[in-house]
Amino acid sequence: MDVIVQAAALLADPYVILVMVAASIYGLAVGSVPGLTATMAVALIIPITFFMDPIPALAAVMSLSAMAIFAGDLPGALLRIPGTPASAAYADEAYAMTRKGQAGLALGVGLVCSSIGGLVGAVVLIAAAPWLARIALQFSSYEKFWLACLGLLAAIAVSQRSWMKGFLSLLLGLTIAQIGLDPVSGLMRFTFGFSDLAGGLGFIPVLIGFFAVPELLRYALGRGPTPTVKSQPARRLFSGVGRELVRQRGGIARGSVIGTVIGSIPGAGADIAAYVSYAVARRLSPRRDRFGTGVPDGIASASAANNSSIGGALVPATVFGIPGDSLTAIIIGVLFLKGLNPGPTVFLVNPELITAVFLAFLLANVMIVPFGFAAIAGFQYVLRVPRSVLMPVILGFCMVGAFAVENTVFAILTMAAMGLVAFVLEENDYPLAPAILGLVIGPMLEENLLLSLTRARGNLFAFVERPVSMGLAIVVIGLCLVPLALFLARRLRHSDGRS
Amino acid sequence: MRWLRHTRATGIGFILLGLVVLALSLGLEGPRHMAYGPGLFPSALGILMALAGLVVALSRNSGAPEASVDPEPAADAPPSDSQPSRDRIAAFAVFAIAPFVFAFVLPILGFLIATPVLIAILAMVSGARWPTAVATGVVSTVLLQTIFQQVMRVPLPWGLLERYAGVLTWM
Repeated sequence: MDVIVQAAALLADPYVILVMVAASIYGLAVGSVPGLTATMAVALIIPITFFMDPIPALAAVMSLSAMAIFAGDLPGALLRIPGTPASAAYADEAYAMTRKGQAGLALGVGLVCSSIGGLVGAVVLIAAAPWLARIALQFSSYEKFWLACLGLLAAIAVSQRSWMKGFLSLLLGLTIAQIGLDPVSGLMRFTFGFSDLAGGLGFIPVLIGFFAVPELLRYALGRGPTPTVKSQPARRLFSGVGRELVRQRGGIARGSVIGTVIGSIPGAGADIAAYVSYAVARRLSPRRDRFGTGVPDGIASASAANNSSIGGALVPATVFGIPGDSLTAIIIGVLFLKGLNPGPTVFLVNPELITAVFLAFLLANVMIVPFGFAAIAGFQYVLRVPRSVLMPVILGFCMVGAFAVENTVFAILTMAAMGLVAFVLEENDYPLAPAILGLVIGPMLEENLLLSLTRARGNLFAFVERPVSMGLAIVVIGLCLVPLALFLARRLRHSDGRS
Repeated sequence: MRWLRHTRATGIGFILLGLVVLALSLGLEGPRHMAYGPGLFPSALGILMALAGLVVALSRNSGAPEASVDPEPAADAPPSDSQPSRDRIAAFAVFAIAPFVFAFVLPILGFLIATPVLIAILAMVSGARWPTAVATGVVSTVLLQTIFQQVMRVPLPWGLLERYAGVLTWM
């Protein structure tokens, strides 16, 4: 309890609150522009947070993550253009309500449910993370190795279209992470004599390149969705929302739980949480036949899951240093930058700092309601900024941001090259999230693999001798074998059907 | 840009990259006292990448990928699979090359000259009229300079304006 009081005192600084307010406005503005994701918003703000103290920097990242995720609902509901991939799960439903003249109800329900979901995720985070950290302290390099494998596997598992492409994306990320100093021997690898490569490719330039540049290139080609501004003011925003919330209380609770659980699985994230929650709501709703025609049932459950998943994803991110999705991968990067190295020891060394970060997330989810109300009113003005003005400014921000962090033009080259690679990969349906997870987890995986091999003198059975490592190994191997078995069974059924 | 959408080519690219990583990793020698040197992990990655690339290159659906499931585009947006116009391809080329050019000219011209010019050019190829493009370049440069150099104290290159640095530092 003392830790929470100390953490709250750290947050009570007017400068921190001011930074949170500014980050919230920025998150709402970016999240509400179609094509600009919460991940991209966080990637773009990192160069600024780089120069801040840890608490305001992390509070800014937390606020803007929560706001940007919610803000994705705005263009989804009013224009049927989801601002974030997670919002796509219920954009059709919300847009159908807008066409029925219920835009205010759709957005109001989404707004309050996002807040409730986020609060549930934050409470779970504050309650469970330190408890899990105590267990995680018992982990040796063997358990950490399997845990890293688990994170990487989950990243591939969510590559819905082709897990092989997800695997290749992951390998690309792991390979990029090999450039620079070897974490165990300290020798140079793949630097080709260039001093700029000695420290490896900068994490932030790579991130900006992966997420922002392909979006800009698609815009240049005329591929991105071009929003048309329609005058659809969300008047009487909260009319009927209270009644609907009471009616949807079960769905909101279910969505919050689903979001927290899915978010806490490394490699999952808000997108999957929202889709799963919407699917479950549809299956369990007495009005399931009317889904898709504009009913708030799916919106309530899915938007709660959307925001609660962030809190869930922060559990493995802070306790084990394993990101739940690309957004938390960036948040882990910020934690590292600020000296709060994710892992169980952070709860011993810096308990008040990490708790302050969690409280900032809690506070951000309270702030969503008033800020969201204002955002809905001002949303049309954001979309009225011509893209021919907005996109060049974003590219300028990306280039200067990449330069600022590394203080070398090589960072701009890294960003540009990675952006082109990411563009080609996305054109061919390769998911990018596994590459980012590979980049983050790569050094941890290699270090624990080599340490374990050295300790065990090459005896591979040592990897499964401890009970926890054996349990994790079973999960990892099971996750590898079950899809393979299902694939073979499907092939057999298919060939039987033919014969 | 349909030529970019060819999964088999990406599979072959990954095979080549995997083989290069493997070859370079095998050449890495660790300290004598270490049983597992710096080449072990990347060589495993190289092998896996080459094999996975082979699977993708040989898979039956390794031609052009399916059209992405984007949200329904606006009525005036071109269909995602249609060939972009020459103007669009030119805009794509400018957006793709701009960061490389910026990295080259930034130390020479300096931030305050390179940035507004580049952003104005980008705005013009995006379809903005020249007064709007110039205003966008100037305003965004002032904004970026204020955020990064004046507030965050990031040393952005002065280039040709080095001798006026004292005058141009306004905060």
